[in-house]
Amino acid sequence: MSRFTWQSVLFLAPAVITLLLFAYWPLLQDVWLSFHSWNMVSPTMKFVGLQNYLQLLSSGELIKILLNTILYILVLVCVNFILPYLLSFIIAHRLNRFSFFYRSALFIPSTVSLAVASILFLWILNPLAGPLNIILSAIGLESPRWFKESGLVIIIIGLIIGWKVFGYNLILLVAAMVDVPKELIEAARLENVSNWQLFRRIIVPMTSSTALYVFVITVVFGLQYVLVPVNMLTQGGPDQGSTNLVYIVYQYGFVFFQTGKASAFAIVTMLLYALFLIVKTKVLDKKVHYEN
Amino acid sequence: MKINSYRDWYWHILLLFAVVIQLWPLFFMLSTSFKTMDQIFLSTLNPLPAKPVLDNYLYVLKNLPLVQYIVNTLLIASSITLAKIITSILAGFAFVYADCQQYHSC
Repeated sequence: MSRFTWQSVLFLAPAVITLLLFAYWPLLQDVWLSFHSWNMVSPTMKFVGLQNYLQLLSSGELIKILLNTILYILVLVCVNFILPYLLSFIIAHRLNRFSFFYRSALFIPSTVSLAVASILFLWILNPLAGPLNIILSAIGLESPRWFKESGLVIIIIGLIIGWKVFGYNLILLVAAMVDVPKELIEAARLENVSNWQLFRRIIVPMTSSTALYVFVITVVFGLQYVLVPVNMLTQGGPDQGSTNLVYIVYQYGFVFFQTGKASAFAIVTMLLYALFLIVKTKVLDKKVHYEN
Repeated sequence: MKINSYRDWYWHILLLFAVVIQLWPLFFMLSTSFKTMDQIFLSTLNPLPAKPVLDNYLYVLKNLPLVQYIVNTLLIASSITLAKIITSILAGFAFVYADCQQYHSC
């Protein structure tokens, strides 16, 4: 028996060592850095205690960044979770044919890298020569400066991410929808149940575990995807209008070289993510039906 | 009455709309890659370039170390895939087949 336990330790070793080395050790270093003031080149670090955190809380910057982050999450949840959820229901259960075509066609943008997508949309949304501006001026509208107005810029960046990630989430959800037994749906059809009732009473409960997974990756990975377009298109501007909790860590760390504040932001971000995951486990998991 | 057929043309319209939104930027990128500089600015919306040219592709092939880029990409992608598969297969095997009765949490 004990031999077997040793074996399992051995099997777990590569994963655990990689995690310790590349996730938990940097995390500890991050905590340590957040109590110091350092600029990445100076040979000495100054211990400043909680000063980084106090600055962060008193500057008012945090509130703005939190609001931006929440707006990002709202846009991402709409585009990458609710919309694919509804469309995957239609693709899986409301079509007679061509569902394979829609699945593949909608998935194709997921293969494009986010850097390419950012540059592509920078050109499409160009307020002078971009194609969208030409279409808008043809119907007598003036193109707003998409990346220069706070609020709007977040929605646009969220839509760029959405354009890329949408297809992947759709495939995941379609796979879950296809697993719903056909008999249930046929029975509901014989009872003349409306589409909405069918969706609400049969599909949502039967696919809730996949849906929860997609929801979590939308929120958790979505903000990390945001880093690439924000860095390429706006650098957090205008007036920090498009920055968020993930990008601000990068900016303080590798643009302003204030590792202390960057680490403090990273810790705050991590705590908020932890809070989200606790809420997810305590509240949402109870409402989800796992098959086994 | 055929049970298996739905009236679905309105869903097709909705889905085709989504497909156009998803694919048009890619198509735009593709058609722009065959245009000359003044065509890009003069006929931005025209999907088919008046005189398709390969200049852009030739420029990329001549002036950028494209082979090097592709090799780099392959190296990164394959090493990540290999590392992920090895660590997760071993760990997954341990989780499933290790004797978990005595430890409640695994």
